[in-house]
Amino acid sequence: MTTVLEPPPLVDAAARYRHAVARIDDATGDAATAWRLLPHALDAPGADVAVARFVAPAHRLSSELLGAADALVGALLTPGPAASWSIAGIRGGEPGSVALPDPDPPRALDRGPRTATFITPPLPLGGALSQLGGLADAGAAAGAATVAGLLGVLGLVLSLGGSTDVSPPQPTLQPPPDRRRPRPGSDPVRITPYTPCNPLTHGPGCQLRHLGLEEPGDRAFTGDAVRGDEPPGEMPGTQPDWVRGRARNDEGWVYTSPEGKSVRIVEAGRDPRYPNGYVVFRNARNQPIGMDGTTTVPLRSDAAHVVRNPDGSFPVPTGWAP
Amino acid sequence: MDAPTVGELVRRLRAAAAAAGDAEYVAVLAFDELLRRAGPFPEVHAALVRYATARVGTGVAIVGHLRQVAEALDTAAAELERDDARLAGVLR
Repeated sequence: MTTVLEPPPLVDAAARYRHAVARIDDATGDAATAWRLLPHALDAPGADVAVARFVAPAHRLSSELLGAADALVGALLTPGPAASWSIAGIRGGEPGSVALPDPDPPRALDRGPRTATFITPPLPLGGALSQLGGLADAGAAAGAATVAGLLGVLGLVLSLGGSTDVSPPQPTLQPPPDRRRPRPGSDPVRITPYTPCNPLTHGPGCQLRHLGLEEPGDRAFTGDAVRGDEPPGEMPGTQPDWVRGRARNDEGWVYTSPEGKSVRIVEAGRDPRYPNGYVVFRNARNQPIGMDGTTTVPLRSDAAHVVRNPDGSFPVPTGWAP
Repeated sequence: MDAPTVGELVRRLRAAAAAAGDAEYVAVLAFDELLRRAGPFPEVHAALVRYATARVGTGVAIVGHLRQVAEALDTAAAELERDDARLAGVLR
């Protein structure tokens, strides 16, 4: 007996995901455009280095992610019986099929004066599976590191039998709900650094503000308890089999578990809002989590930033099992 | 449009990074919703999980790549700002 799937809910959800990824790509497009507006005579030696290292790769990566999301929607749009939704139908994770890129190693800035005239070549966007060939060409022209990233993303691209030669119809997209701004009363904890809260009304997240006897910054950072670069296992919230790596922005360390959970330590003095630094805990799906250990929180919200004390220590979310 | 200053460029980069960060968060939530809707279909659900979390060696899962975009823009802004401050003699 064959059970027929009801794809519309799946397709609609996938379309929302694709729409959000498109917004990421729009943002990188805006960033790339901003660089083009730099006057040629502007003496900004780091500009072209920064755009070459970060903005252009981010633009390419977001385009690749959008291509993969397009393919995801396309695959889910393909009607068929449940039997055709085999595990092989949605690919990803098979040995050898994924070679996702590593972050580029930091390089020293060239201190010589140069004009900032770097222009990011636009990539073909839009469409679905038919875009993949164009993306492959763009990736090949962008260098080996980008090709690795491209192949990695393409390795994740969905493919269902008989669907790759057809451009599937696009679903009707509705703007995704703005979940970063929940309705009044629906947000359990909103924490602002240095703003005391009442644990009886704000919940356990309030402990972030009640760790020290004084506010962060009242005492100089010592790092006596936690320096911030301890080996895995010695760093609170980590285990010895975790991998430690320098953060891409060179402002701290990231500890990653084999399952993908991570603890990011941001050093003291890097962010004026957090004079002793802060910590971000992420679950295995790279979602920042709050102090209850389960609730996901927006990355850029204060709830995602666990404040470090002057001795470097910090609380570990309840239920965090490294 | 007027030629921007470095400060204006940094501001626009940070705005782009914030937009990318917001979109990343929405994307992750949307994928959560997709997983929930795929719940009745275990094979599809399992395949979607692999799609989002697949990694090989030191590679990064696709959800990690979503995050990298905003971080890269933020880092570019920080580098440019830092470099500009050095030129201005604010930093040494």
